[in-house]
Amino acid sequence: MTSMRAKPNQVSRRSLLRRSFMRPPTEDRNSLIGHSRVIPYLLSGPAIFMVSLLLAFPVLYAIWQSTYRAEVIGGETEFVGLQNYIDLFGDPAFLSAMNRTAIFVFGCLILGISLALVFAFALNKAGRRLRFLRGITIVPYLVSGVAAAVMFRLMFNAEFGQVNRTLEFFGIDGPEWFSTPSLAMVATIIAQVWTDLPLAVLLILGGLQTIEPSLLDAASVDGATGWHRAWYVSIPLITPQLAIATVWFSYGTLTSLGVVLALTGGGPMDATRTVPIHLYETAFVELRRNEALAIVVVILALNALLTLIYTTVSRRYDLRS
Amino acid sequence: MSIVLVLALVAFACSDDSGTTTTAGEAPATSDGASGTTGAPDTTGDPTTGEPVEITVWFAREYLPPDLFASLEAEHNIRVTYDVRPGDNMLPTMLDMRDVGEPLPDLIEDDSLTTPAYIAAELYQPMTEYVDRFAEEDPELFETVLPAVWENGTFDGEIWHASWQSSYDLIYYNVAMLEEAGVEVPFESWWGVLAAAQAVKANNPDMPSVFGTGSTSEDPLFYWLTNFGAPFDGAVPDLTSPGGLDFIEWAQTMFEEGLINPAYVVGEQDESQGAFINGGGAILQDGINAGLDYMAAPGFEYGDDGWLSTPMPNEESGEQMSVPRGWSIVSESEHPYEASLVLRYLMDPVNGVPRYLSGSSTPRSAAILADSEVADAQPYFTDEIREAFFGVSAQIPPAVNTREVGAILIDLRDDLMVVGTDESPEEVAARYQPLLDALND
Amino acid sequence: MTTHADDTIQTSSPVPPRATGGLRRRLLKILKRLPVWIPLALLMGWTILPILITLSISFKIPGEVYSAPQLIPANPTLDAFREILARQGFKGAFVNSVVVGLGTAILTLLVAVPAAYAFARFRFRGRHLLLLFTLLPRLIPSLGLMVPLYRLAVALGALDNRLTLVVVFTGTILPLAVWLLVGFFQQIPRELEEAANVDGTNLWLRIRYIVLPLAVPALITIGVLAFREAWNEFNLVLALTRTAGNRTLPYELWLLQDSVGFANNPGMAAFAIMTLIPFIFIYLRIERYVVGGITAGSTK
Repeated sequence: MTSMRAKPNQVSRRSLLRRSFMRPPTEDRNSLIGHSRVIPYLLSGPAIFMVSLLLAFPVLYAIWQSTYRAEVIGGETEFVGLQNYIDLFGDPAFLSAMNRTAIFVFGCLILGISLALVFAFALNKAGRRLRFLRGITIVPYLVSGVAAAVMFRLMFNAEFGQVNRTLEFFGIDGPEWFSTPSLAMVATIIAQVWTDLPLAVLLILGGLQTIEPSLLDAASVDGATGWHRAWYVSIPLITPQLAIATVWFSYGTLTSLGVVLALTGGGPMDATRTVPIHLYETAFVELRRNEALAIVVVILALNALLTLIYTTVSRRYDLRS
Repeated sequence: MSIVLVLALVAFACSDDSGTTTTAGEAPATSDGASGTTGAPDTTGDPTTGEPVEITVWFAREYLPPDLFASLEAEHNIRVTYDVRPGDNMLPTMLDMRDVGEPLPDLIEDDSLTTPAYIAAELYQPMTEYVDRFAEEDPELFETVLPAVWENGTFDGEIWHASWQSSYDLIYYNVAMLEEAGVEVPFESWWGVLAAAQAVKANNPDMPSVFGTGSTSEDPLFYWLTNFGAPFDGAVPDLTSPGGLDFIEWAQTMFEEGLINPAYVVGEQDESQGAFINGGGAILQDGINAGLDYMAAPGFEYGDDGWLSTPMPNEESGEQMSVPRGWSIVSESEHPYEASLVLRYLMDPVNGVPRYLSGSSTPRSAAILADSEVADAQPYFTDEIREAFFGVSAQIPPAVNTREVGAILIDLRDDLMVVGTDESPEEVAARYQPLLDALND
Repeated sequence: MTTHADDTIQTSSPVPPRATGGLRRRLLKILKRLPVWIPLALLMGWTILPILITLSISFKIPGEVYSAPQLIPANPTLDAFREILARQGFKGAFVNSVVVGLGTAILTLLVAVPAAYAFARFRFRGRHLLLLFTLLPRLIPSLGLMVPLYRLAVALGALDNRLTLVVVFTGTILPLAVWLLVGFFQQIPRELEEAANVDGTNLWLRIRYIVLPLAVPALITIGVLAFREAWNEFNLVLALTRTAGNRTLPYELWLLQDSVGFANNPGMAAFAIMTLIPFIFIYLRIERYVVGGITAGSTK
């Protein structure tokens, strides 16, 4: 089914590559010849050490401190066990924040990953002259959330914003974005996706670029059209990158504070009051730091759960590792 | 080659930029012109070593001319280091610093309403003694400071905080539109404002936002409730009182009559201000500082051809309030007297005027506000307004839970003026009051 | 295949063959490119329109942003740019951001590459767990990192130091970097390295001369991500620095925002523009190296 294009006698790097891809995925083999068992630990040591110190330690700290509570601001903290968590899940404000965050995250994921896929595929096919677009794509990622919020407030302004003007051009009545609870959520999702999209595009594009073209050629020889090739061949091949992009995107949206706060401040009637905003208020307005750490732990647990789900799902579809 | 450059940059990064003993900006050894400070005997400087006393100051907002402390350092044996930090983060940060043993600053600036929280956290020390010394040692300067500065910071008989600056809202209005509608200024009451807005709207039915506010978050709510005469228990207003219900009805009517724009209410500031400038609004409640930006608005001038200002009405209750911020001496400070000298220095018109002109909120100083440069910059600060500003003794209620109350009031605002509700004022009050009262438990 | 279509047309139409064949071919060509062009146009609009708005705001004065909101300012002024450049802390913050950003990118690569290689190529005890361990703690929001890292920094005497920032930001981007690289390395066929190994090259040389060159796109991606992490992070800068001399751009931006009266939107916009433009240029320069990967492509 595959065609070997290399000249038969030339054992070039390229032919090695092709031949290796033509083989079915191999069993994970033992360490390469001639190396001690110590080396992998040495190589990964610094990274493990840094992560332990800088990330794992704060996680443990957060879990530990979330079991305490201070009676008075700045006063002594006393151990309360899981009381902070019990109170948290009994707090209707927190539960609604969770609800809204779920809507927010899934909205961002659906919009973001779809757009990322579309843009990445397009960029992959872009002719040489259009390559500069790759550079442009990353720009939103370098802009701070607050600056982005300023832009989007203007864009979604009901009187003169570009969004409504475009809608009116198509004959649709431009709505009041920021004073309508549900629409405020939509606007916030769009703003959030705008700032984080470049990451997903970069990751997915990177994955697309590592697809061996002969695989795609083979598929088209078999009669697959562009769409088929994309859906049945390319996407499964980039499952690892898709998984990373999804994890990172949902992490970014689940913890996003700057954009939402600057854009809607929590939204009309708390419509966009997400968990990070609730966290911010618990920590800095109510000055209840231990309770805030309980929220942090909950966010962490949610993120971890989502990550495990994504990676398990992706492993099922992964053809290559 | 580029690798060398990169490595050089990284090496640069490794060097700690120690800024702890310098003030930002180059401070000349002596300052030009009058030192303007006190005729006080120089009792500063470390008595044993004669070394300068190090004072650390934390500002919550900027507006600092670069050589701010130059003449203070020349006069007294004090060296000042300052930093600017987010206000809402100051208290938690200081708690952490204290836990860990990092040295705390000596003098900090924060909103006056936060004072009880700091007192509860034992982060402030009383400055009553130093205020008395101030009055003794420099009576001339002391008298330019409004008494409210000390009063607003007094708790349990001690002065904990100097409420030196304050935000204070005015009503800005479009002269032509109000004249056309036959409205008389000053407004007698908030219902009078409503009537004025109705009259303007009758002439301009498509106006996006006849009435708007330029001040943000919970401040307008506290202004209104105070003006309407709702009593406060700590920071919690009584919405069920006649004043509270009156306010709710007023807000609902503003919404129902289309006198406000819900999207602008949520936006809190930008949209309303923009509308006022370009003719999309006629009456705007905004702070004194905003006037400086209105002065610069193209095509919309201060004066009878453009806009004028007037104090907020308070006929409903006779009470006015302001939103002050100011300075306190930190409990751990070893040099509270020197810290108080820094405070005096900031209050001196020689320093206070440039600071105000570069954008801080309004200092409660008769001298600074009488300064000719200041008067030129803000002609809209009329005598009437000055009188009102000087007469204000009430402040946004200082309490540990003020901001939490504010969050609920913002929900109330959204309910009444953004989304709208059909309930009667009593029903609305009945819904929100328990939430508010719960904060005081 | 096109030729077949041409044949069909020729036999069924009385029109002279060449003209129609050419037109149809051109139309088909355009149609084929549409699925690429439409999304690209959308991408351009989606990315550039907000930037244009920012550019527009940066040439206005605060009062005009909402009162005269048209895209092209009536009275453009450079005031906002002058204001930003005149700020005491701006240049220092810019330099700090660049230094910390580059430092983070370099340190991240130095630490992540060996670790990812180990996870990808070696089978050792605890491999899966360690890999998971490398990823999961990252999922804590940065607000939750502020206090513990602050305490750690004080305990180590590392407060208020740009190197501390580099190390901390590296720590926060390592999980993503490692995870990306592991996936990437796993896709590089072992046969390449084994071929080299037969020749007797050791581990380091293998990595340096075979694996890394192939991984350049992933390395650059990670460098960009690490740089951006350092570029945009505010909370940790707030928690870990005490003097203006060590702070980065996000702090400077915060200082700008806290104005009384009118919001300083032009200032924020000018700030955003001035911090973006250099990097667009640099990225455009290096982006050709992001192309490629294992497939090499016909240009190589």
